[in-house]
Amino acid sequence: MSTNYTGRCTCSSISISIVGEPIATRQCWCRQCQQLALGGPSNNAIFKAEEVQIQGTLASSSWAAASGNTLTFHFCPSCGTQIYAQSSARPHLKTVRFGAIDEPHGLSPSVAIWTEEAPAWAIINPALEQWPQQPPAPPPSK
Amino acid sequence: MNVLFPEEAVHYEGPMSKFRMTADSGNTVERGFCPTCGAQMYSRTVEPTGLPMRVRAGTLDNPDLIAPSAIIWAESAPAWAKLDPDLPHHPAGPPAHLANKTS
Repeated sequence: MSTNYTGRCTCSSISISIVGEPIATRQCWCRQCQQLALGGPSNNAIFKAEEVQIQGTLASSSWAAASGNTLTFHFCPSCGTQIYAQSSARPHLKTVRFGAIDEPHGLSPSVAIWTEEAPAWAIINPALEQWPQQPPAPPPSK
Repeated sequence: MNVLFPEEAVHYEGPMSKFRMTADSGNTVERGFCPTCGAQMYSRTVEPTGLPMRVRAGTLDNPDLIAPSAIIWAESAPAWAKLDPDLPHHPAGPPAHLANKTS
């Protein structure tokens, strides 16, 4: 399969190569994402785990996500750029951060989730499907 | 999302990883982040000196307290980004009167 997307962190210690297309793209406003995403939402593309190849040494941390699952998120230890996250409920998927994917990638979020935790000043595209909390799980990998 | 404070007004406790780079503005900036989770805490301009410190809004306990009052580098935003039409938009870095504004 050919590479559809490439990516890297701010300092280029980490590089990403992705075959296949995302099964979903989401914008997440949960408070934890706001902490990682500098106060805005995280914007994410969810791929089958085996389609995402990472080069370089990542650091990781995990927390009990607002959904109740354990979310492990991986970042560059040199510059702190968040690269991808993985949920204990869906180990067959990798949630790649838009900011780490090379432009122009042509992806855009199609759903906004955890909107009830967004700050009052947040601008959320009204054209997006919106969920106040966690949406239903994406379909299982085939 | 950044909240600007005079550098001397901001105090951090705990270990901080620091990363220096040349920003799109051409300035040398230092970004501080948590070594354990990678959360970005601040951006500080090393050269030139005297600019306010940018505290990342997501790390404040109450991000509702302060709404953005201007959008900068709007021309680098992705096409799908929804920018508040009521805020002033600057295509690149902030004009000097905003860059130096610390309150």
